[in-house]
Amino acid sequence: MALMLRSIQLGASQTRNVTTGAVTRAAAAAAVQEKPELKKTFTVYRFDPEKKGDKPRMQTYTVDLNQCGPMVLDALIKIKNEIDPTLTFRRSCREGICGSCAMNIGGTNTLACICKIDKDPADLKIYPLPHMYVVKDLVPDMSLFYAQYRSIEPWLQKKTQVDYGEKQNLQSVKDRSKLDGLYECILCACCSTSCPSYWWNPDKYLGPAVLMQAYRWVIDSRDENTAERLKRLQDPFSVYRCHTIMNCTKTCPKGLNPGRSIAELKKLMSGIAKKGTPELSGTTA
Amino acid sequence: MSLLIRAMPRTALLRASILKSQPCLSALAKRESSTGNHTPLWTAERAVSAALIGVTPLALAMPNPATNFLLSLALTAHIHWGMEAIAVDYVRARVVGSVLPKLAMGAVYGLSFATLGGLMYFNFTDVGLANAILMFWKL
Repeated sequence: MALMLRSIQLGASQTRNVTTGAVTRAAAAAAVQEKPELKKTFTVYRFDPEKKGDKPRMQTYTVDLNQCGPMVLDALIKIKNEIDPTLTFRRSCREGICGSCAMNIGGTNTLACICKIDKDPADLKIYPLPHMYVVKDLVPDMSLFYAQYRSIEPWLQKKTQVDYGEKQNLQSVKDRSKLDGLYECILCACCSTSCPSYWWNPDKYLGPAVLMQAYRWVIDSRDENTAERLKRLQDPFSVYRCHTIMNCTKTCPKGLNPGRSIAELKKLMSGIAKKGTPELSGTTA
Repeated sequence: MSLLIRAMPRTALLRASILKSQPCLSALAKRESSTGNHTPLWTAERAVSAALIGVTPLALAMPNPATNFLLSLALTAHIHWGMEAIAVDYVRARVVGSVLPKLAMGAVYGLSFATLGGLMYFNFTDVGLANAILMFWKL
């Protein structure tokens, strides 16, 4: 009896809830339509080196945040769609996995697509990645960065002849876990372009992003060219321009730690640390 | 013909071809030209830095010619490498031309040798570095 009574009460309260819910939703819908303008100004770096006599300048755009997505990239797309189609920037995945929209937002290198817009009306300054040659507006020239990445030979290297794609290279779970925090790097160059050492010597110093990938291949238990890889980095510039400033780790939009990787590289090079023998080696039968 | 890839020996050749095929990558070629083994020097720098943690209190605890000598030498080396890094980082040939970096490096070496000489002279003819720090602390 008591149970029945409770279920009736419960039913009644649920009905009430549904009603209030519907009312609230309708009110919310009305509120969206009537939401006041929430203005935010974006001051964006503009420069077209191909236009004769063009000089870098800052251009201000005002966006109503209530009519815009939550991320800086949403605002940039809105500006490009609705205000100024000449504004140039890179973007692709809009979810922080491609690294295309790396730029300097409010003084910090990050990905525009995963950087929330601060609701306060203060002006937000957006620059291209610092100390890079500008192709146009927010698009930096990444060719040197990519060439440096290529120079560390970011692929698996074996001493013996291997037919790739035919057998699996064995690796223990523990050895595999050494690559965690390294393989997630998307090469957006936020860290390298935040590094003063990379600003001063980009021609000879490899920079944190590339060095972290160098470490990723050095520490891989399946890779057999460890000594050669380390030897290639031993000159005074490739690695040793790192003065542990740690801007790289502070700025990484993926929360990785390139500074630690460089330190590990230095330890391996000086012999303070050893790579250790692989727990599993060879290939599947 | 199978898709057979020999990973290792091609690498040098491949790198050469990358450098040749893309003239914009002369900067990369410059990195390749940065030669020499910096590893022993880096290890020495770390060793001296670590040693200073012990040497400094030791010298202050028992100031004598031996600890004074150690402290002066370690401090000068430590400061020299720091200054050298500053000169390498900030006085660059691609910014200030080829003469000034050499002058800056010369100045760093001159300053370091003068510091070391001065400290040694002070150690042998006066109260010594550790005692001087202690006396300065008393002020």
